[in-house]
Amino acid sequence: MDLKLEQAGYCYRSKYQTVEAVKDVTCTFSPGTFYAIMGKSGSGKTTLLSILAGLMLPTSGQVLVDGISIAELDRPRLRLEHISVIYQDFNLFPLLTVEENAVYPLRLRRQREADALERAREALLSLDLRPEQFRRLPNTLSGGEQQRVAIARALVTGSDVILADEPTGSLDEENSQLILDILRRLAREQGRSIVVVTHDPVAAEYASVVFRMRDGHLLEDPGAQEGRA
Amino acid sequence: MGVPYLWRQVRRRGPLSLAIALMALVVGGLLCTLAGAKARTARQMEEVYDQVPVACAVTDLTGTQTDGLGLPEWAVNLFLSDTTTVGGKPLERAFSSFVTDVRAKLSLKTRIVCAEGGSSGEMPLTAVTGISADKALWAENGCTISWNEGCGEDMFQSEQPLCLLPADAAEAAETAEAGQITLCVSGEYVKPVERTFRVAGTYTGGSGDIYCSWPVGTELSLAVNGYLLADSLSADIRSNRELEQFWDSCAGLFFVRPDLEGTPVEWTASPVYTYFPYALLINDTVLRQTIAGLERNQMILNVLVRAILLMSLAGGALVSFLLVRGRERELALQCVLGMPRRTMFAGAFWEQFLLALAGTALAAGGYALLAGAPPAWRSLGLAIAADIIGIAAAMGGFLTRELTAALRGEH
Repeated sequence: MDLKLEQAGYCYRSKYQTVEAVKDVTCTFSPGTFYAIMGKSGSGKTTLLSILAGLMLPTSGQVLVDGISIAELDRPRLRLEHISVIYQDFNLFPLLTVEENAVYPLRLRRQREADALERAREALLSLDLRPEQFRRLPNTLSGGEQQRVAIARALVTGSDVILADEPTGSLDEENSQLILDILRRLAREQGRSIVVVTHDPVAAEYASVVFRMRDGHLLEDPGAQEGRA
Repeated sequence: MGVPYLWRQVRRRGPLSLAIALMALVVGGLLCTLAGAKARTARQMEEVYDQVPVACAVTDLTGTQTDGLGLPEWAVNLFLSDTTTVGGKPLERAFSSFVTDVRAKLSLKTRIVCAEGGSSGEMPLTAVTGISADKALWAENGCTISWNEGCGEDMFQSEQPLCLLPADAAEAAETAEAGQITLCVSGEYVKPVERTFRVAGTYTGGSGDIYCSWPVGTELSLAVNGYLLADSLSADIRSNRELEQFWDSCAGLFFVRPDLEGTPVEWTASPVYTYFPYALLINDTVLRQTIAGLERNQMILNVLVRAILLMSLAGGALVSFLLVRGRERELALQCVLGMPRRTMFAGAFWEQFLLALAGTALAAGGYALLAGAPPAWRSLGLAIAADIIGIAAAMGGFLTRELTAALRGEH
């Protein structure tokens, strides 16, 4: 699934000021590619990610999903079936078990319970989570394990695009590398688009395409790609 | 996520849930208790209206004299007739329809005619509507009545010439064997009338008057005087709830209210003062004082109920609001994962509503168990409504905020 931004921009308007967080961004996110968007805090990275996820509509320009404007699509359904989002602080349901968190999107899709559970367990196992952890609450797991549960939840729906907002921001180096490895594998082996927003240069090293956000503008960083090449 | 998730929330947030449950129990119990007290007071008021006797009596204008009034026939008819007219037009409701157990008394002069042709000294012949019409006949005032066979108190309603004699007069007239006595009743202008009465009984310890029935007495009064003058007239109020209506639509057209301190009331206060300077004393002091006390209690309860209800409504709305606010991150996450906002709204609303309902049920059940009385459903219904308002306000606030901000827990 192609995800394309066409001169997309986003303005936060309040009673006192207007802030143009994203300005005139045009780019395409293709399947099987690991993208990193780097930039300082407040440069508009998270806003851009939210626009890509359909959580906010651009105030100018448009987001196209396979050529169709995202404004015309059923965005909750789009997130349920094609676009998953992973956050820095995992955003797991604290009162649901690991297994229930992973299976949650499939329950939303009203998939048969047994099939849904099987698929969720497969996803959790593929991310090196142990079966004895499945019935535990998220707060009993380490940060890396919680992030893997969040990734499992993104994987079970078979999403074409995984958007990750600072996925390693709360993790130590070892766990960060593990998560980034997983994301890279998902892009390479399963042909998913991975878009990671980060300010961590190490995270960017895993990406095949690196963008930089500066004052709302998205700029490609050819140097970073050449370095990896 | 449904009820299981809700139950987990309750279990996980144990102290908070317990505090909210206890608050619901206390406030609900308090509301129910106060509502129960209000209902009891209302019932007491009804009982007071039903059970406290209120009597009315025709008096002079000072309200102090109830006997020897010389009341004319129109006044008697007010109490006894089925219709009441003013200016020739009948009133919608007759005076008599407001009163019951009418007590009237009139006195005539009489002599006992002896068998040998002579007569006793002059003594009063008193006609009454019943024993209650003359205190001198009451047992508590030392009067003992001995009824002859087949006779009783109903003689006072009889149109037959029956009489009740003082025991000493009966002996003097030697009526014991004959069972009857001839009386010579005299009046002001017309010549005396002789009438033979059957002796219904004798009494000791009373006034010493000869008593006859009201119908016979009125007939004799008209025969010897050409008019009717009653000494006293009183009755019980039929329904205490109609006291004001009684005065406004009926009694006030004929009587003034006496001054209870004995100060003469000006005659100009009476609508028909020129001719009928009588007052009607309504002995409702006990009723008024009792009702006033209960009304004061009820007013205090009303204020308390309203204050607590308002506080609990505001508290319930606030708690519901804060509970939803506390779940915003989780609700936002549901939307991010692909749940339509409408579904999320309905689900969260339902969960919170169930919580409010559970709190209210706890309060109602707790009260019913402890007090053994049905809860105050109206107040509890209002509490649920307040909770719903709180939920709706919080949900409304959530729906207008950006999901990403809600995910970060920003308000």
